[in-house]
Amino acid sequence: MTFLDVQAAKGHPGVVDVMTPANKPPLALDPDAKTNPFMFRLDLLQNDQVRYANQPIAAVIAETLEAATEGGVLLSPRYEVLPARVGLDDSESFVPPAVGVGNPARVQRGDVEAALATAAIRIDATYETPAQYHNAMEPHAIVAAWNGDSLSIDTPSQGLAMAQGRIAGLFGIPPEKIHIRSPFLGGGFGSKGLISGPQILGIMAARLVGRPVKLVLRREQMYGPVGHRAPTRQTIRIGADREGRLTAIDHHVKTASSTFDDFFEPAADVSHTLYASPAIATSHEVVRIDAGTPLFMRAPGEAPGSIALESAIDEMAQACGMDPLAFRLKNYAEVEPISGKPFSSKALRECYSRGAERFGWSERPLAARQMRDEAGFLVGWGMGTARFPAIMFQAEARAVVRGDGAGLMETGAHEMGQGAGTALAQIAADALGLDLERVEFRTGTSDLPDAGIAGGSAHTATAGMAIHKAGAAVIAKLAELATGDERSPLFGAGNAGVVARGGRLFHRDDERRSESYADILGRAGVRLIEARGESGADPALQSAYAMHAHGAVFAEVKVDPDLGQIRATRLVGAFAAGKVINPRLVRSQYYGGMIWGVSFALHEHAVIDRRSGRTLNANLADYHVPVNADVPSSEALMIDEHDPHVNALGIKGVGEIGITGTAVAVANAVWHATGIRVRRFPIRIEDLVTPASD
Amino acid sequence: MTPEITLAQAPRHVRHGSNIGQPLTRRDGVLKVTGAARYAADNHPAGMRFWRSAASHAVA
Repeated sequence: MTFLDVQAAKGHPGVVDVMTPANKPPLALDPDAKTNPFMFRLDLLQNDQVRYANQPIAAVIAETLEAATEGGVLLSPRYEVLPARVGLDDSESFVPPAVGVGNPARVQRGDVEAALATAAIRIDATYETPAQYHNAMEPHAIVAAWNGDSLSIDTPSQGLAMAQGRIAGLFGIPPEKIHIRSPFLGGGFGSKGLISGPQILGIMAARLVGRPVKLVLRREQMYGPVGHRAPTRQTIRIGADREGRLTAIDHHVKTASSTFDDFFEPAADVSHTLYASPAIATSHEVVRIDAGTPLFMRAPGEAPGSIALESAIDEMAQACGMDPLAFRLKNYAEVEPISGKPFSSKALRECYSRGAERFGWSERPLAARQMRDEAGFLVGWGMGTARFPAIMFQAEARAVVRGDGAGLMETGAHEMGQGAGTALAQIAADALGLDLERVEFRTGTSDLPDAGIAGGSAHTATAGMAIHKAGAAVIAKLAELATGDERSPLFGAGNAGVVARGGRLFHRDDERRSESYADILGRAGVRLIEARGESGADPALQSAYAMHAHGAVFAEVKVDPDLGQIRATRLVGAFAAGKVINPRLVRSQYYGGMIWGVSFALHEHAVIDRRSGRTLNANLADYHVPVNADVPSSEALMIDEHDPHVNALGIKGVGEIGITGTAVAVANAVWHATGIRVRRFPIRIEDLVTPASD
Repeated sequence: MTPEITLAQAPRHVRHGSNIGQPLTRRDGVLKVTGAARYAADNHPAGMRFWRSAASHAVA
């Protein structure tokens, strides 16, 4: 950046100040410092270099939004323009040290090359997925107010404790001086997991002018500094014997990160888990491009990886002359193929059979282009396997039983619209042995115990287990008070001899003996009792078992044989993800993921201008996502699954799995309708109109 | 071989099922459909200034 007309902006009525690299408040930590893999470099007006389109270069602070907007226009920046590197072929590739969060970039089991060389049938295909943007309805926003060295913030966050720690490091103040309120998010999908540069700039602006400052990103400003899903090019080679048994899977991914930071979409890792192949190899190579750093976006790795792998599996089934479901069942993994570990639970067979039955899959003709509807549209049926790991992070909760017998549960969880505030309150009520109406559930602020990050589909399990343990601990204290007091009907029952329910403790062996919480506390003269609980993954169980949620998705599409227009018309998903805390909310999560899968297959695509490196469709008119008319008739079946290993509540996670399986089911249905295999996503009309129709 | 693992069992005195598993509607649903739910941008502390970022623009 060679010029910025700060004087013109400052001269505009209502403009208070202009924050630039020259006058920005000092920071305690270099925004380009990186001390752990979860810390990403931020653009905080370090200097006049512009690393990618839509990077913030200055901030105008004004009395009104209108004055700030006009001031921003008056800045009239000028640049020395360098050539833009975009796409996967503009720079030298390299093998990254790790992909995702610390996953090895290359993994191998067995001799893939030897198995491929001797395979009776081989598939060798390359699939491409585009850059995609989260596009949460609520843009990144912050209202920041300093009071001396204390900081008060309203901002949406999927990771309150991490945001608090990051801000504390950047401004050199203790975390407890920072109070963040994030009661509701208008969606996050990973883009609000880590606090972004523009949010920090809002805090810096508030410091500069000594007044509270509000920032709300415009839609187009979300295409750059708040993360995205990187493009991929995936080459999959699969070998099978004459009976349709897989002998080798090789999954190679080329993807991109920014020029200045490392996040590498771990798209090949999906091949570790799904099919029982004796030889499996996965590898990643990456290039650096002039874009904002890609980050976690709903089902990172799994979403693009599964659309490629499951397309290739469908192509192999076709090459073997087998029904796609029969082929998948023939290669069903009884243990996790890459590790040899048993699954903690895996009800995928039931997902296949229940989903197929509900969809009517057995009526599907094997060959493509066999079905038409009454209007003459080509009809196709496709399927895909869904899978997402069952992850747990660390969390803490505080449980209280008050003198009147009511309960309080505190943990700084994240209500993103998914219903965490409801599902976690249900867990809290059961943990406290109270009706839901008798429990106050406090959440969504940074002064509460850390509920862990709401990511990795792990929030209900992570925060839920902390709540469960906190509740159990406070009930144990209550039981101790009662069973140790000879005036209590529960005297002598022992700590494990009581059951908590409906605000009373009951004797396990004689339910006629019971006492209310209020009576127990009142007699003991205790105003309230409290206890804390912590959750986290159990390393012994993690090393013993492969833990994943599974599912099967069946899709119908209709394609206009003359115009190539594609409509997804019917979806049936069947998912097994352990214990379902709230079926209404879980179904809604499955629907959301399945609709996103339709979006992945048919709509979403950030179009990058090769000359400027800018996203050409950085708005919700041109960046296509499904509208109501694009959403097919959908059903999500919940398959019972008891998992005694993932955690005591048996919860896996449902937030991301719906995308996997669905995107490829739609793609495979497009093949079945048309006989045309499209390997570049999203599938476009022009991919389907080239061959002459009959 | 799988090592000997103790199942991660719930403590004995907790009873499940009275709330978990119920298809409750969202507790914040009414707040949201009536516009009463306060999102970050809905906050207006006294003396607040507005912030408009200038992001890097295309150049001809």
